[in-house]
Amino acid sequence: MSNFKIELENIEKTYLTKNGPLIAVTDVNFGVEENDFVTLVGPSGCGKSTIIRMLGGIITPTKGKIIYSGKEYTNGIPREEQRNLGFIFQSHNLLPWFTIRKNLELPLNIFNLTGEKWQKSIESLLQMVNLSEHAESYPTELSGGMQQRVGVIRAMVHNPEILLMDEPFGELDAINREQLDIELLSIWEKTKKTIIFITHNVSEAILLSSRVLVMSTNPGRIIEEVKIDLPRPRSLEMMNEERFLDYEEQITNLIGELNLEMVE
Amino acid sequence: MKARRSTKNVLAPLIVLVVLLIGLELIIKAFNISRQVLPAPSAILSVCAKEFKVNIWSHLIVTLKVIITGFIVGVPIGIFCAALLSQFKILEKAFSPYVIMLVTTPFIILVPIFMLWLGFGLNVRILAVILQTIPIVMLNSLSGFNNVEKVKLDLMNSLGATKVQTFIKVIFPNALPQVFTGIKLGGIFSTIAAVSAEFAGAQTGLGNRIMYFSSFIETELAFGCILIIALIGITLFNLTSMVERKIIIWKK
Ligand SMILES: Nc1ncnc2c1ncn2[C@@H]1O[C@H](COP(=O)(O)OP(=O)(O)OP(=O)(O)O)[C@@H](O)[C@H]1O
Ligand SMILES: [Mg+2]
Repeated sequence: MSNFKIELENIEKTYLTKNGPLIAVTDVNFGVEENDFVTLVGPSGCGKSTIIRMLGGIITPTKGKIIYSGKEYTNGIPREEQRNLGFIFQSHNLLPWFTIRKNLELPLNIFNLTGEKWQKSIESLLQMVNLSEHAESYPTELSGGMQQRVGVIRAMVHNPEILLMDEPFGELDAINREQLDIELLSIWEKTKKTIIFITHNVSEAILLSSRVLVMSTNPGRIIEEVKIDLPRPRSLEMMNEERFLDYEEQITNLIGELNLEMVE
Repeated sequence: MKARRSTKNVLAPLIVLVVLLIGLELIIKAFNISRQVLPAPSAILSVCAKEFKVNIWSHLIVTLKVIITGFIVGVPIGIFCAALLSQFKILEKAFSPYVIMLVTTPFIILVPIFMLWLGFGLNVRILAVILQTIPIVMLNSLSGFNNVEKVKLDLMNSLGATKVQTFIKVIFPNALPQVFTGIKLGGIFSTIAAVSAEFAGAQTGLGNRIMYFSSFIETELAFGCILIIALIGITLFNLTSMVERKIIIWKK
């Protein structure tokens, strides 16, 4: 048996659309070790969200297995396993009718986690992202960056081992995004979560992860894996180093070739 | 800032009302319009004030009772039925065409038949009000319950939430603006239904009084009752709006 925390085996997803069945992704095979930080990049529509939504138990694979800590699931992810996952959405996806605190309590309520310990977990996460004063605010009263921070820590209040992040900072401007990337890295170093992160920003993928999985479209599949051998902790200054730029060129070319293929 | 806006909100329509009343008064005086055609506002006010205790008060109470009972029973039933329909698609497919039909059915036409079952008491009218209120509340609530962003449902799915949890935490609060639209319309429908039921067959209530006073050419009193009914409708609407603003505090 492998020592992967997360493993996907021959995963395929077919959507039933008005124009008939659409194979969104096929032949997806990869594994993520515990405490690893892996990124998926690829052009729009290549099936990145499809993969991470299957991992989060939001949708069910048509074929194949998802294996979490050695447990195989072919028919969706059960609730007990979801308890161990934190899903972070592209738009912050906070519930506007709840205060920040209530939003953070949502996973605790759903997973039936009561007691002082869990309330404390909310407090310390709020402190970690410097939003303690905003606990009683409503989401609309926060800036975009603040909302996204809450979206991130909401996925962490129930202390999951795995974070699934679907373009979490995609709607932020570059400066805000880089700021949050750095914060995320420091959270990751501290908490040692296993993270799967989706982006279509190549430099963000390199900055964050130890491996970048490059995807292609029609049908969506993983075509290349690039190991990022940059030292940790990472910093924004590294983005100007030659090695970083080399990775950037390599991955951009990979995606670029795909786009060329598509044009042909 | 906020206080100034709310006084403006009250003051502006009030000025319109005063101008309208004075204008009406002047026109009626100037053209010598007979009180049988259109009584002057001042006359309506003075006659109604005099007769209020003896000839209006008890009927006002009856009408209010019918409206409020019907409204209070009808609104939750409407919301509950909409919730059921939204969560069980088979039910929705089966019943939603009839909901629209029921909204447009004037239940007052059934009042004579209800009387055969329930006698002549208030219950007939209350039943008419309930039946008229449920479908309009249901229609609006249902569209609210069905109109929820997919990502919010994804969030609940990612947490493995049950159907009931998803309804309570996401679908219901998300639908509240539309539910309140339904309740406000429900208040209007309740009022209309109560008064028309009193027209259709009753010895009491403001609806009945309008016919009664008209038959004796007591036009001031008849118009007075009409205005009181309008006032009930407006009050119910505004009370609901007030509750709405207290509850939906996240939308500013
Ligand atoms: N619910 C659905 N029903 C039908 N087709 C879908 C559905 N969700 C996604 N698809 C299709 O599956 C393919 C992959 O979509 P997916 O959202 O996974 O792409 P993505 O890589 O996340 O794209 P983006 O970068 O734009 O977010 C697309 O062709 C999309 O149209
Ligand atoms: Mg996507």
